[in-house]
Amino acid sequence: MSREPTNTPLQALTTLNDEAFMRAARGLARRMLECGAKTAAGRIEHGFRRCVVRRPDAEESSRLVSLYREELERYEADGEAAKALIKQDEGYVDGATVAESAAWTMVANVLLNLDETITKE
Amino acid sequence: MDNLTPEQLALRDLTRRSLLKMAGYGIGSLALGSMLSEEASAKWLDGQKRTDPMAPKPPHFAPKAKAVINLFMAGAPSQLDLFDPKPVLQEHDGEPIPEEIIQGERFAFIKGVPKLLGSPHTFSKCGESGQVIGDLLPHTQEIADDICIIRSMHTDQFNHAPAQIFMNTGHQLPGRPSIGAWLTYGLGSEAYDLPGFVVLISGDNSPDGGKAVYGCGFLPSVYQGVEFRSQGDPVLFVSNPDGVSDAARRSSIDAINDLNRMRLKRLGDPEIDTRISSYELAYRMQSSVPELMEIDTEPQEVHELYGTTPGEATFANNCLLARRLVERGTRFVQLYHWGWDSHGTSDYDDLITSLPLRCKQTDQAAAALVKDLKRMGMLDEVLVVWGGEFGRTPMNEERNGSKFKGRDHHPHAFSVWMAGGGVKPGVAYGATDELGYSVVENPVHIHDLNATILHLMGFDHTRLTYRHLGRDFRLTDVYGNVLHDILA
Repeated sequence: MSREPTNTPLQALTTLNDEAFMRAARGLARRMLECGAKTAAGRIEHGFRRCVVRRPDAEESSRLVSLYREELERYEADGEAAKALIKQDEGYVDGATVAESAAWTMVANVLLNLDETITKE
Repeated sequence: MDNLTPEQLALRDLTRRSLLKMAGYGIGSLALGSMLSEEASAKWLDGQKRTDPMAPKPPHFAPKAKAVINLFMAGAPSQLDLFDPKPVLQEHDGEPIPEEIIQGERFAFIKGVPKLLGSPHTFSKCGESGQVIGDLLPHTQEIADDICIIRSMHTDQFNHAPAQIFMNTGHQLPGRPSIGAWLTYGLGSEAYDLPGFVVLISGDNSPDGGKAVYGCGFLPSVYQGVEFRSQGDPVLFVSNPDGVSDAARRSSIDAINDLNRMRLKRLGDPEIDTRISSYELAYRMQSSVPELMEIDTEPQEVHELYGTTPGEATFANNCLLARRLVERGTRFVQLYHWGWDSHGTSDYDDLITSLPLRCKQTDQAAAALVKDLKRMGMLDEVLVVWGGEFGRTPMNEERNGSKFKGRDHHPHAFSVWMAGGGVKPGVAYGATDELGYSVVENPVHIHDLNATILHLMGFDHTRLTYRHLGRDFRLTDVYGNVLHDILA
């Protein structure tokens, strides 16, 4: 059992910004929107478990909910950025606004970049 | 550099091996109990200050140099045509080499008894020092009084990949840290928003040794060389995706690192600390790297000095970038320029057409770098090292009866030059025999060169170590002597 051999700023930039990872983030966001949960915390738990198998504890959940709220506010104020982020033609879930979809994409981007997600134990 | 007590080491290794799993079996708590009291372990995990692995650290003693720029001429430039003139070799040009000299020798390509090959190029005495430098390098001739030419280099490897890896890591097999990694491990980085070890590549190909030549080996991966590209995005993925503003990216990295810190608190695994630092540095690089690469902002006379071509991936551009990097605190910049492998199988790799071309590609900018550092008052503190992974034979390779003049690989004698950073200027060190086959005076092994570079950067090469597989490894393995005679 070994840690991920690369733990460098280059790797960080790749998993943050490479289109392949963004596509994964959009996919994960869609799953979080479709999972049947009614609250942000519920969606976060679903996404978190998809990445690291375990449930988030209260501190982790609360941090991610704040993130979602912050991103939602950002993308509600900037519709153009929201559309660009979710690449409109890929479509999102019926009933979710563009801003919500963008905010969940950022949350998904974060989940996919957690040390726990990247490191295979 | 590991100041942990044996108990702390055990605890750290335990956390890596999934402490939670062990605790689940009930074994973990027993093991911990025998090594560390509960209170002590909790205190250590909580109290452990978050240490940035790239935070600046002092070397063993006051250094002469604060940074190194290594101009690595991959493929092995022909010393007999550039730095080590041999009149006797010239006299015997075309004669078969006396067999006793090559008795028992293994060559990369030469077969049978090759003929001696004098240099088709000329040399001149240069500057006040009277240093002898080949006329293929007119710009280097201008800095004759600033450089120390070592003619007595020798190595153990005669093929490119192992030799390049050997020169960089002190061992011919991949897996050990490169000199840049050792130095950043020892020193951290003065550059808050740039990597401490940067690699820039030019020429027709990448170095044969691959990424191992600037790798981190068994050192934490944060010390690995970071390759900057001089075409396109300087660092891959330095730009945010569409729709992600700088503020959005900042906010996401904050969240990632907050969550990582929570995990760090639970597990105490230092790799998480490294990951937190990597993300922070990644964010800062998003603005620092584009700024660094904007060489257009340099005055016109600087561009003329180096011979840069903005927008292209040239050695000259890379030299200018190297200067900018060390200005901004990067400790070790390594430039690779490939194409020196003048075997003489065609006019693409011979001494008549190809060698002058490689010289044209690199001579001006290499000299410009030294001149520019001197002009800026930085040469005293920046060590510039020029050279390749081995030398070339005094014999004509004549592979398959080739009519082109070329030389095979030669580990027994080659030349490098060093400038600045505490090295004596305007001197030559070491000598080869009259044919240029072996070193006869002041031999300098790769390990000696590396020991000297570390010394100039403030390190006792025998004490810059890292424990791995139960052994304290170092760049110079169990060898290496500092060349005190060439230190200013």
